[in-house]
Amino acid sequence: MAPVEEKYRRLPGRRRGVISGASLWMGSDHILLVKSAWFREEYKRFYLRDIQAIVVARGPRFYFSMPMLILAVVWLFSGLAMRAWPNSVAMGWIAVTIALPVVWLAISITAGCRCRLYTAVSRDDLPSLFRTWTARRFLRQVQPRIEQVQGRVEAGWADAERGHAGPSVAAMAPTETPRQAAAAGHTLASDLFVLSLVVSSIVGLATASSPAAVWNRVNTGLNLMQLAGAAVVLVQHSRRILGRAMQRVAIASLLLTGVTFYVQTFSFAFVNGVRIGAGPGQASAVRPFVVAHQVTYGLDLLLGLIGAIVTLRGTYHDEPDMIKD
Amino acid sequence: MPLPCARCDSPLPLWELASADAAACTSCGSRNTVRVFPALFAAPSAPAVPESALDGEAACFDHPSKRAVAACHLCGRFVCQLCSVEFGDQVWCPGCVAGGRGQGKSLYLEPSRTLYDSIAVTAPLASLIFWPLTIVTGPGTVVFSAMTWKRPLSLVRRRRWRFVLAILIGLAETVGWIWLIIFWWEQFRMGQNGAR
Repeated sequence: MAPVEEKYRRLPGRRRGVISGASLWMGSDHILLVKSAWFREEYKRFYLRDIQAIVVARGPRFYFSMPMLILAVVWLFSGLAMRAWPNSVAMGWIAVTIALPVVWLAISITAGCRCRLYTAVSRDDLPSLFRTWTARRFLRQVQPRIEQVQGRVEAGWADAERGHAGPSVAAMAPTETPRQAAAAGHTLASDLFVLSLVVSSIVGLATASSPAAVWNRVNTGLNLMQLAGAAVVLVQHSRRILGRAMQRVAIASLLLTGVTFYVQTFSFAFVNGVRIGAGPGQASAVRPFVVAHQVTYGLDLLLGLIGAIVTLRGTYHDEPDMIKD
Repeated sequence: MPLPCARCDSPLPLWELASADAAACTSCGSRNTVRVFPALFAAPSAPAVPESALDGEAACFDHPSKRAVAACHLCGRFVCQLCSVEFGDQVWCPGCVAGGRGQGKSLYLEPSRTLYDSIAVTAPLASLIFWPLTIVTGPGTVVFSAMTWKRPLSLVRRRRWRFVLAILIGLAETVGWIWLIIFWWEQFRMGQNGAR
């Protein structure tokens, strides 16, 4: 008699939402997808002999996990003690508070993925796999098990499929260069956008501690130019004039501006509130924000350099033709 | 056999998959890593057609004119090709599948389970937000844990430590309330004695 109690081994990837979660487990002859919500678990079994393909598509995935939210709340609450901290610690706290969302955004944009499992009668998303490194580990563990049951597919399967393909597959081959491939690495607008990023960050870094109002206006003007440039880049990408790399730089720049604005506004209000309560003469909280500005401009400069690299690659590097025959 | 992009469902270009196990979707532009297995190329199985039983041959319980191909793992009835339902290496008859008989049900048929151990551990902790509720949830958790102790746990979590934790928290809350009531009672009695 077959064992009634199946022993499951955890597979890489776990999603822990606020009220829901998902995980994958390897059974003796199937993969078990467990989706939980509140106090209930739902199961779906994918038998190894039935799995036709596993496809992992890269793409941005913005996801908050419960442990992450708890850590964020604890971190923000730790700021309540800022009154007792020396300035250097307060500055460090603010820098980390700005940097953490930026890191999370960068990871979400660059390392996000969607994983899907195909059988003859179903196609199911695997929600616990939303980062590329986890998906890679999952594939490394699962692929040998499936191949043990089904055997291996020969290396040239796609060529063979193309050879035997009927009209449906033949119709998939482009008859002309795809528009995606024709998209340029850079345009005049993207060049100006990158220039505005670099210039605004350099000017900002040089004048962050200057009290002169004129530099404030110059920085604001450059920031507005940068925002306009990012908007134009996004429009050009949606019209397939501009490639994806520059679009990502524009998105990152917009997100950085947005996050910085909100974090600085709230931090400024918070710190000043705490220090005004501490007594007269301590109300000035300018020093930590000079560092915060410098961090922001530093990140802007980094984005500008990435944009410059994208621009130069677009100029000097001919992308290989997507159509091989 | 076109494979769809996992992000936008557009077919992935085979001319790219031919060179590597990866392809950029021509529609959304996302890079797809593809692992393909032989099941993709298997011809769709033809519908099961049971063979007619000849004289002297074992016949299906539900279709006496059809040849039996196996016996139900649970009830032993003979089943034809049409009636045989495979679960792993076992064959069941449609009656046992519909009735969900046997211990095998827990392995193959359950699409969901309620996590009683999680309920047991969450209730006394959540009630701490409004602590007077613990007068109910403390002893309630102990009783609930005892009542649901033998209920099946999650398919993938096999330990009952949540129940143990729940009982400990429930007992602590109950003991705390008993102590508080005794303390209040003593205070009340001392107050009355002082008044006399």
